[in-house]
Amino acid sequence: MNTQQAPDERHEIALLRSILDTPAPDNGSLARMRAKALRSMQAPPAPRYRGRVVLVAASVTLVAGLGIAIAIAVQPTNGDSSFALPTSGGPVRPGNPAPLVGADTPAREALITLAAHTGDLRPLAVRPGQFVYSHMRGQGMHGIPVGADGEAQVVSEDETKAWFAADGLRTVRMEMATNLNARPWTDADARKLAGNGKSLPKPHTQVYPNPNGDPKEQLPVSEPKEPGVDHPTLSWVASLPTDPEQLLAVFRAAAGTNTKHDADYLTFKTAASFAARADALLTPAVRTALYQAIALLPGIRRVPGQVDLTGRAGVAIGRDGDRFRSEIILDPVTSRVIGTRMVATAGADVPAGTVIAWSSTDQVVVDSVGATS
Amino acid sequence: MTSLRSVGDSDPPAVGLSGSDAELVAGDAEQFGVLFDRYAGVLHRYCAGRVGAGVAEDVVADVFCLAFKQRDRYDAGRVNALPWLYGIATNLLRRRWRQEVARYRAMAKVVPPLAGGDEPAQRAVERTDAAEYVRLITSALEQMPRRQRDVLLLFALADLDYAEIATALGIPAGTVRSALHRARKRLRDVLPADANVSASQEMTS
Repeated sequence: MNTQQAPDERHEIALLRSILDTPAPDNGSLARMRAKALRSMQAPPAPRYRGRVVLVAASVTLVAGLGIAIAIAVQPTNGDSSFALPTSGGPVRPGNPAPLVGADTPAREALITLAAHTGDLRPLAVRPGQFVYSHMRGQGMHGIPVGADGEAQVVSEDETKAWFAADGLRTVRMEMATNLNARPWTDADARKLAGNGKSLPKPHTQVYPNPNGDPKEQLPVSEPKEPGVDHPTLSWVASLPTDPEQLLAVFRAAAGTNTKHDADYLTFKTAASFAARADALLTPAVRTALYQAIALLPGIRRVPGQVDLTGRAGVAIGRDGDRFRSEIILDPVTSRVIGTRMVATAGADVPAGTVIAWSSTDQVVVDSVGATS
Repeated sequence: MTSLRSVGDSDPPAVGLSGSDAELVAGDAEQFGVLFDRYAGVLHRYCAGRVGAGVAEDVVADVFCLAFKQRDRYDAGRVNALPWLYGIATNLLRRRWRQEVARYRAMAKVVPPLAGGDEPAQRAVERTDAAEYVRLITSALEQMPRRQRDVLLLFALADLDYAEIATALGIPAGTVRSALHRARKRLRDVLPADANVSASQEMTS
């Protein structure tokens, strides 16, 4: 860079700099620029036609555009003219969508970039008489007592299907399957189970309401619950503040405190769980504020590269707690929430980096209880 | 096994970890995103100095979009892509000349705030000096030939040397030298001989 002038010969340059100098762009500004630049890179090149050919090209474009418009209006809402968000895979984008954030983009910048790109994501549009179908999947690890050998660690998955009335508050039907695909965590755990005559837990399904009257199949559902961070509804989500600091205060209050984890970790975990649970209900403004609020939390970190959750590649942003890290996984192309994970860190009983639990939630509007699309 | 790299607000961008500029320019949109992360901040400061922060956002986004479309023109032998990007930015700024003039004129009307000296009288003098310098310099920029202005601002705001400016604008280094000489002389000619650099230190744009 330039070093050709001695300091005493540069007074007009110094004056010029002092007059025109501006502060470095903040993260929000960088995120807006980045989103715009990457969107433009993905856009197909404009056709270069002249004269009469332009009219032909314009006609073709118009017809094609109508076809796309009709498809968008009809497909997600079964005739409702309002746009509803498809809940798996996000909105369709033309061309080959590129991630909005790179493999090494730091946590805060990644969050702010994704927060600046929420305009295409609309919350579910529910008409009277319709239901919100929520499909939750998760995996966890738990110990089975094996006498003198302590515990054998077993990994299993669970799946919950629920249909909510109104705007997602009152449970109309719920089916919860647990202990799916149960398996020992390690060979040593398998030997502990076998050596003590213990078997793996069997899959178990509970339903609400229970048509058989068998208490074992009865899924306890208390309702109606007040809407909140743990029970988000469309209207409650829409009422949340869109100022990041005010929204963070909502999560801080809901997270509470305990002696095991620091308040920032609890707040992060609460916000991440809410984000995954309410992904399809978020307005663009609330989603933007939510990501910006998480970006305000001290100690958040980015897992380099991308991680896989239920077959979808995402950006993992985490916050370390005591022996475990809570993570939120975001889609780097659509800005949507894919799910959450709990990952072991140093000091845990399992190797650091082990994913000990994950969950994801998909939500869609359906016309009848039992329908899933 | 998943591992975490500690990244925080104060960490520098991961320059050097994701390939050279030439490799990034030759890559896909995601790799251009890495290039953006490297250089968007400094490009924005250069553009914002000329057209203001808001317009500069649009210009910088357009710079990377245009660079992506023209990436096959990039000389892979160039280690540093920044002069190339500054050149694109400067070309785009030519389309924003009206906004650049509007910024200069607006600045000339505003009396800049000053921390200044201890005595009220001294502060008043410095404040008056500063306002006059802003008016003189912005007026000179407005009246300066385009090439001289581009060379001057790439030198002063972007901190490029002669060779880098030559690369950015696609002109010989000798032309850069003479254009910069003339531009600086124009500034010196309009400024008082005893122009007080310190009086301008607290100016804000």
